[in-house]
This record gives sequence, structure tokens and C-alpha cells, in this order.
Amino acid sequence: MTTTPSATTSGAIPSIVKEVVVPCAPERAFDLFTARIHSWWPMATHSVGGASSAGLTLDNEAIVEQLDDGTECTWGTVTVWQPPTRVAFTWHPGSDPDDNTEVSVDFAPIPEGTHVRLRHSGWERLRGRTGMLENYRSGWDVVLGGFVGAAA
Amino acid sequence: MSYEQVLDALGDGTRRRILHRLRSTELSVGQIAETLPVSRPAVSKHLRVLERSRLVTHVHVGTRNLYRIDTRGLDMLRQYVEEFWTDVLDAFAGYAGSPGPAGQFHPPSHTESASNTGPDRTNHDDDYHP
Repeated sequence: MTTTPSATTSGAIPSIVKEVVVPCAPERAFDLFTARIHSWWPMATHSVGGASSAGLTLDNEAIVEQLDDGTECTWGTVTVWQPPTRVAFTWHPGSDPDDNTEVSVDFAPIPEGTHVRLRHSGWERLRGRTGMLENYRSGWDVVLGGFVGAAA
Repeated sequence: MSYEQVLDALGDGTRRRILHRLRSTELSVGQIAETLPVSRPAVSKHLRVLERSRLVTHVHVGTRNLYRIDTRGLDMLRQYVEEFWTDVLDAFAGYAGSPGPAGQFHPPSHTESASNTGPDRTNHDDDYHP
């Protein structure tokens, strides 16, 4: 595992961490997660285009949704591509690339197969940008800023 | 009350500005209106929407109401993102042949007990071909 625990210091917004075990080797798990992402991602409910969306790709450059009108919607840019242990990308589906957070996925071998750990972080970066630019494109800035205020 | 309602409430720029004002302090309607190019009645209307979405709440102080952030709406949005990734990883695990998600926040050494993955499940791995 190359990720670090969620920051818990004052002012930091905890990452969202999700884990799952899949019964195959990391090489296969990494391939399924990336090259085969269109086969399993719940597009109907978890995409910009919804049920009419035409596809989704994740390669060593970006994660991109193909819409039914032929256009593409970039969800994020790949920042780490280390098969079969780690992939990470910025995350801004349906919003401005400058309003991104970060998603990293780690694949670790275990006796049953592969332990997959997804971490969605970088919320505090949105807050900082908001403070500087007073930019209100996304509701997340206020939402997550509120989290910090509530946790303080 | 749903996360959609919270997102709808946040879809308005004036309401986001009102929330921003309330991040670090409690304010009256008049105090909020002073810092925004919006009338007091309009601020009151926005505050009602925010209150219905559990994004703000108010307390009576003397003859006026003081508004402040209500974390329940924020918790709901946080929950929404949590569920988003749970759904995504469940779909991935299902495709990869796993019977279900591992327990959350367990270190890898503990996921064995949190998962019902049996030895027979590894056969599904061989079922996959491009």
C-alpha cells in the first residue's frame, strides 16, 4: 500500500476511503478496473450522460466518458499510472477542471486475490481555491468549507 | 429531504454566498443582506430554502433570528459521495467475480473475515476473456 492514512489534523477534510476484495491477481484487477472500465461502471446512474451515455475509457492519460452525440466529457486526468499497483486521477466530472479533487486506487496482493482501496481526497484544496478566488462554480466549495467549520 | 434537494439548494449563486457568509459566524437576515446585492425579503426567501434543505438553521435571540450552518445537509452530501463510490466498487467487484464489498476501513489483513470470498470464486477469474 502506498497511500497514507487520511489526514486528521485540524482543518483537513477527511478523505473518503472505500475498499473491496476481488478474487483475481492484481494484474487482472488493474486491467479490469482500467481497460475494462466500460464493462462494469454503473453508467446509467453514475455518469454525466446517464443511460444514453455511449462509453467510458480509462487509460494512462485520462478517464473520459463518450456521450451519445459524439462528444467526449473528461472526468479527470491520470496523474499516476503504475500497473498493477496504482492508478490515480484528478476528478471533475461535469464540472470545471480547476474544481478537481483526486481519486487514487491501489491494488495489493492478498491470499484471496487483490485488495482494492479507493481514496477520494483533495477536498481542502477546493476550499483553499475558493478562499483565494471567491469562485462559486461548484457547490462543493461551500459544502466542504462548511464541513471544516463544523469540525473545528 | 434528499441529497438532490441539497444540491438544488446549492444550485443558486446567492444561496451559496449566503452559506459562505455563515461559515464562521451567526448572522441575522439584515446582516446577511448588508453584504449582498439582494433585498432582505429575498434573503429571507433564500434562507427558507436553505433551511428546508438542512443547510442552515436559526436560533431566536431577543426579537430577531440568527442563522448559522446546519451540518445535516452537508452530512447528506458527504453520504452521497460515499455511496457513489460504494456503488462503483460494488459494480467492479461484481464484474471481477467477488460476492461483495470488503468491510470499510479495515486494513488488508482483516478483509478476509469481512468478505465471503470462497476458494471456488477464484474460478470466475478464468471465466473472463477479452
